[in-house]
Amino acid sequence: MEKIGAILVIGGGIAGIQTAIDLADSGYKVYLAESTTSIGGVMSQLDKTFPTNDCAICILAPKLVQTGRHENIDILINSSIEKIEGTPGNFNVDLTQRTLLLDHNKCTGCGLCAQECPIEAIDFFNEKLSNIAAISVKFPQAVPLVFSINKEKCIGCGICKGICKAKAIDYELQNELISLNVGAVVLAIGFDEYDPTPLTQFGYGKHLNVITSIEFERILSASGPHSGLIIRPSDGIIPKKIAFLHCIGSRDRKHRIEYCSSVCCMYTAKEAVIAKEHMNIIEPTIFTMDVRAYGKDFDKYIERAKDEYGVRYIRRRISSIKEIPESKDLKVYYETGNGKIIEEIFNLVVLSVGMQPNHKAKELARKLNIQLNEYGFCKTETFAPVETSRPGFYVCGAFAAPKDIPETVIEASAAAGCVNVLLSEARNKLVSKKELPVELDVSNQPPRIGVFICHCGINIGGVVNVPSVVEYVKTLPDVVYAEDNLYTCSADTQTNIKEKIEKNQLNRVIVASCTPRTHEPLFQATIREVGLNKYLFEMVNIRDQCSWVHMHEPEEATAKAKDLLRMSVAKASQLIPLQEQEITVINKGLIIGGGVSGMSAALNLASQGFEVFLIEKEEILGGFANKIYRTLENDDIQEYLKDLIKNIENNQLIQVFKKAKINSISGYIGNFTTNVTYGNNNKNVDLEHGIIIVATGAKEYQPKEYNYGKDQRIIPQTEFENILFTTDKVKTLNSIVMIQCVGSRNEEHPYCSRVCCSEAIKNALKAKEINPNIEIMILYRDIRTYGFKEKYYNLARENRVIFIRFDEKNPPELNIKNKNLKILINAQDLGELEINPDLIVLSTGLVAPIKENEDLAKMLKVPLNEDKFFLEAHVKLRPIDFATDGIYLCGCAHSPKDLRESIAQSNGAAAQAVKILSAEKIVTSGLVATVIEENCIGCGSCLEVCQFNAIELIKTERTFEDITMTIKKSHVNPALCKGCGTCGVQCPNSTIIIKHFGFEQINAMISALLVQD
Amino acid sequence: MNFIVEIERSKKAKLEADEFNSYLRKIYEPDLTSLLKKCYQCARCSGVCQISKVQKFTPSRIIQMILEGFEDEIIDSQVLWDCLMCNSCLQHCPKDINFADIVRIARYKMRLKDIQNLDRSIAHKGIYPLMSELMIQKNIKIERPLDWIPKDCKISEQGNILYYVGCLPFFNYEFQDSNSIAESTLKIICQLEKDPVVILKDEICCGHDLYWGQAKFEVFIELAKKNISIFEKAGITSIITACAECYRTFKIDYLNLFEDFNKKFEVKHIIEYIFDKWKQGKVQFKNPNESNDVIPFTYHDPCRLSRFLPKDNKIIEEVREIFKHLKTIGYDFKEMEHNKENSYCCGVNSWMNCNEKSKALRYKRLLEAKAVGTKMITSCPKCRMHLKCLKKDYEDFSSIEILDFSEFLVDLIKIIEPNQTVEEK
Repeated sequence: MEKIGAILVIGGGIAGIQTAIDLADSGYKVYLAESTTSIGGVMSQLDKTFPTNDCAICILAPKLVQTGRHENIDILINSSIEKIEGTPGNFNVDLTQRTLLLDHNKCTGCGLCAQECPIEAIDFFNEKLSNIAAISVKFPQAVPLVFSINKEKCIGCGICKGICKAKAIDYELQNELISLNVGAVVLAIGFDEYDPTPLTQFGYGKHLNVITSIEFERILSASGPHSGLIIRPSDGIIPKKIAFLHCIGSRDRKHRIEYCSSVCCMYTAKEAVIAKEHMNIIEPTIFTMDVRAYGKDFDKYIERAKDEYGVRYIRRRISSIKEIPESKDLKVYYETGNGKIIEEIFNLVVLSVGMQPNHKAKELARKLNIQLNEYGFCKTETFAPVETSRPGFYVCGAFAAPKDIPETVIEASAAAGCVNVLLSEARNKLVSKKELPVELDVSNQPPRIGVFICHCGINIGGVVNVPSVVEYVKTLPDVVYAEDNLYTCSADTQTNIKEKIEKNQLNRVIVASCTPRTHEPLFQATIREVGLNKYLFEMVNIRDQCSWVHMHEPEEATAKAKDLLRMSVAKASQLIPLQEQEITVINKGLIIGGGVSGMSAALNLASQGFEVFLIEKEEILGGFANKIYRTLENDDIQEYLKDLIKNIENNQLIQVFKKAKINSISGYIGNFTTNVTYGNNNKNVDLEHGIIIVATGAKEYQPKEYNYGKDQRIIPQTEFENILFTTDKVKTLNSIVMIQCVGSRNEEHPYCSRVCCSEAIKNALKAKEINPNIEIMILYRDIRTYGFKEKYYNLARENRVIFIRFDEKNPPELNIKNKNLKILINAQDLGELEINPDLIVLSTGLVAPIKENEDLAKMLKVPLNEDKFFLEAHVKLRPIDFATDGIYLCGCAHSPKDLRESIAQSNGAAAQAVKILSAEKIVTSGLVATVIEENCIGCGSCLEVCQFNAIELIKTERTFEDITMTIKKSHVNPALCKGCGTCGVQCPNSTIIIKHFGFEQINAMISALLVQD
Repeated sequence: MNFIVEIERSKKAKLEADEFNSYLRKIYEPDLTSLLKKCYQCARCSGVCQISKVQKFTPSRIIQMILEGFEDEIIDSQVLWDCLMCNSCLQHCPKDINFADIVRIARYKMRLKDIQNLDRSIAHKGIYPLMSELMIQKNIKIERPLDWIPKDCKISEQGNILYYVGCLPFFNYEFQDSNSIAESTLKIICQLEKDPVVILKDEICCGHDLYWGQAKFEVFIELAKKNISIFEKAGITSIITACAECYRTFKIDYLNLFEDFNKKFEVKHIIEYIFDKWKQGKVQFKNPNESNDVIPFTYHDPCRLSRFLPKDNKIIEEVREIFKHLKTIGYDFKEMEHNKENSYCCGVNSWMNCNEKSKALRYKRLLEAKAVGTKMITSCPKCRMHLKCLKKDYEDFSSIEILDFSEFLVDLIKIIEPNQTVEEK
């Protein structure tokens, strides 16, 4: 059956958004079905994100806008799936789009209706902490920005219908049934927060001052119910003492939630830190069990929370909360380190609620014939982390398992990567390119400026006197035409603008309306359709900057609109047509590292028909996976690895270079050249390729501690695993001690290696299986079996593995007396203990190969973090790519992670790479930096500050009267330049100009501003 | 930057016009013809002009045009922003026509005409002249960075002897090792003075760059007035500086404004200061290194300490006397091909005209240095900065170490205790 080049993505949270963008960018049509009225999901509700404390909506909003205006993405809001039939590559989808009671194609999001609506409804976006009109938008940055009527609350008074200038409101509109034909389906329906009402001991819903963490998140938010002021519900005073309770709806077998929700430890630390930042008088206390800060740079965040912000951690779970009736303060009881039970009073208690399967998961799974796992999340396999039980259906994000944002983004790209493999033959079949007329040459014409000023219903026009602004603009130099529009962005206005350009021979166009962030591309496309270079366009934001911020001063707002337009006209007359360059792409990939990550990425690319060069420094493929036999879930790694290697070696498109060393890398996105020496005979070859994937992995820490290397009875986990799976030796042993965090979470390696807890538990369980009488003690600091791995921690305890906790400051000590091993440990709740094991197993961490990574980073010109792992472009939303275009990252080169996570990230990296490889040409932006060569002295300051590696110094020869010399000149590669302007600021000679933001334009604007009428 | 200029102007308007004009008259002669009339067009100036070797620039033609009545055309063409103000032409002019001073006045005229694109050609985004301008603002409290001061140096806010530091600590943000000049100089002075040396926390700019480079005479006059009042308040009688530009400004340009400046304050460059102490037998020179290798070194005369001083000044010879003496301790002084009054220019004047042409001038200078030595000493922080900037771009020059006079001498100076006598080797 023919494959369809379209994909249905179900769920418009960050997972669905990322998958949609990745697929749409690689030449597929994407339908993004969202059940609410805006995409954005839970991330849009968050105040800040850890570990960087970035504002969540600030980093998410650009993604929302990108999705909203992507020509290959159709967003279907307020919709639900009815049924999906067909086979992988060709499915028929029926979905219902519920009516908004208004026409979303007509609604411009001006918001007048909500101002006038007499009815209040509960604001679910603010977690019911505030009210909103019955006709509303989900949140101010919503995409698409359309309003909807709350059917239950609406009284049908007709006020909104009467005042809507766009005539969008129609109470008669019915639900619509939509049929789609797609090749694949991606499920990204996310999770629900746990509702703690059933845990009556905490009194949620009964005690006013017990709230959930997501409610607290909204309270923290500047756009939240109290505009960022932290006040408690009972009396509106600032709570001085706040207690955070971990593991509410997580790690709770009694309530059938065995798994760990993976993210609560971190978001709680973040909420505590942000609360402290908002109001210094707040004293946060976190009640916890194990602090699971297992992600990249997470432990450092926890340390900062403790040391810099004074967040108090108490290692106890709270059994119950009592309310003090008079003050509504809350009393909690807990056991101190020395065994005393004490009570403490808090002003506010925040329950750190866990992640539950989405309440619609069961029904959807039934409809779509998808299997769920024992906890109600989507069932996946270790070696196929984003594939569901139904072929052609993929999953990503929290629907597969609880996870944080970067991992969700990684999986989202991974799902796109797997869809690519399925549908590559149908790529570009459903996306079409517009034919455009030849560009008019206006370079020698005097400026003829046309200005279009938008009322935006009454959103602008209600405050700014638009007709008077139009009259004013007509008096400005070079303006030959000006008009006002009810909605400049509407489809009929686009036709109108084109007519006016032709009729008045306009060669510069200005639109004064809302923000260029959302609307500039639309108008640029409009003027391009009649042959004007798209950079001959200027946009003025008289909505945000005039009618919104000065809504109570209409005269001043109008005067400011005139000022802004005067400046814009002055700039527009200085605009010149800018050319975009096309760069041809070499459709081959280079992958550095032949471990599981590198091989998975290679296979993904090759199965789409792209040639791959796979570089491996050792003699064999497989990397670290060669040393491990089973996963915690008991999957056979060696068999998987054997298959993988066979597939790589049999693939005609993959060229493997073993014992290889990279000598140099040059070029840029689409056109790299890498020099490699390889093989036993040190052959040398230049490889040309369009992208690079870094999959160099990590290595095992070589302990200096515990007499390692001097006594055969002291071994690392990998060696123990080898013994377990290849010998019977364990049958002869009586007792084993495992020591955790050897070479992790210390001064030298201040991060968690993430995998060691699971490895220890896996091996302990295996040892118990071989020899049930063996005594195993695991000495640990925190057990970090996040997500579904928690099950095995419980299993280990049930199998009588003994867990003894120690403090970082008091690590276990080793004594060898008369050849007997003796471990002394100061256990936190038990006191001094002495253990005499037969074998000591060290859970050694994963470390970055420092020298290799530094060398490679230098060649690639990409950064490393403090721990010498590669540093991605953005820890939250760009975990797979570097700031430099065309270079991607996966596996343990990024940070320690397990096989499942590595496989996901490598498929994600392949998805990013395919965006480039599948394009014949890359079009660069016209708005880039350019160097006036004559004044460049080649100092290189621009080169140092450019994050995108877009600048290089080129030697040129110069001859003066009595001397000839070479002078370095800075050169900007437009393929890599993002036009950010940092170089221009840095240049001591002001000789780097950002096109259209040069002295001519900016000076013209400032001069125009200073002109007094 | 233009608005700051605007604000400046409006503030200036409030200044007592009479007072300002009386000062301005002393440093500004609007009738250029009266200054040039002696010229008989021998065109020697154009022959020695340093910038003319790398771009079209002919002083004699410019003078001729002004004399023939085309002054406005010259001003409008803005060609005079290109002059290096190195004063080479004056050295060879048979009529002693001070062309650099003409350029300075012409620049003021260009400013009055409000020609816009000046600020664009000031290197480093014009930040340093801007800082000097800000220093006359009454509402800005100046607190200079003092973290460069070595721990064992005793300093004071009041006293007779001032070490006038100049811009160095401000440069240090962009040109990382600038503080080492200040450090070395202060170390030397502190060792030689019984009383603590004065370092002013509120020291302001001498105004050199605004006087020569950007021709902001209003600011220059204000800076000079403010400087004098700061010096007087601190009880200063003697000013020591390690900067060629500050030295020339105090020694000559301030004197033009305030006739009694040198009666109130004795101004010394660190070269003069060390020379005098040496002659008084209070210092000798000693090589801290045991090695017997002879180190060839050379000296780059900054224009402000050669061509910009009166003919009878002794600094050029004093510094050479010290250097020649150093042969006794293993440092062999060699002259570059162009030296003393004929020195090549470092290529940049008062943050103006940094470009590939001025780079070519520096390149020529380093070629000369490389031919004679492994160390190149200079006594102008800006020369040092500009030459170092060029050096880092060319492998060929990696063998040359560029040092300030104080940096060079700080380890070679040995202080003679009062009870010791000088032993001449």
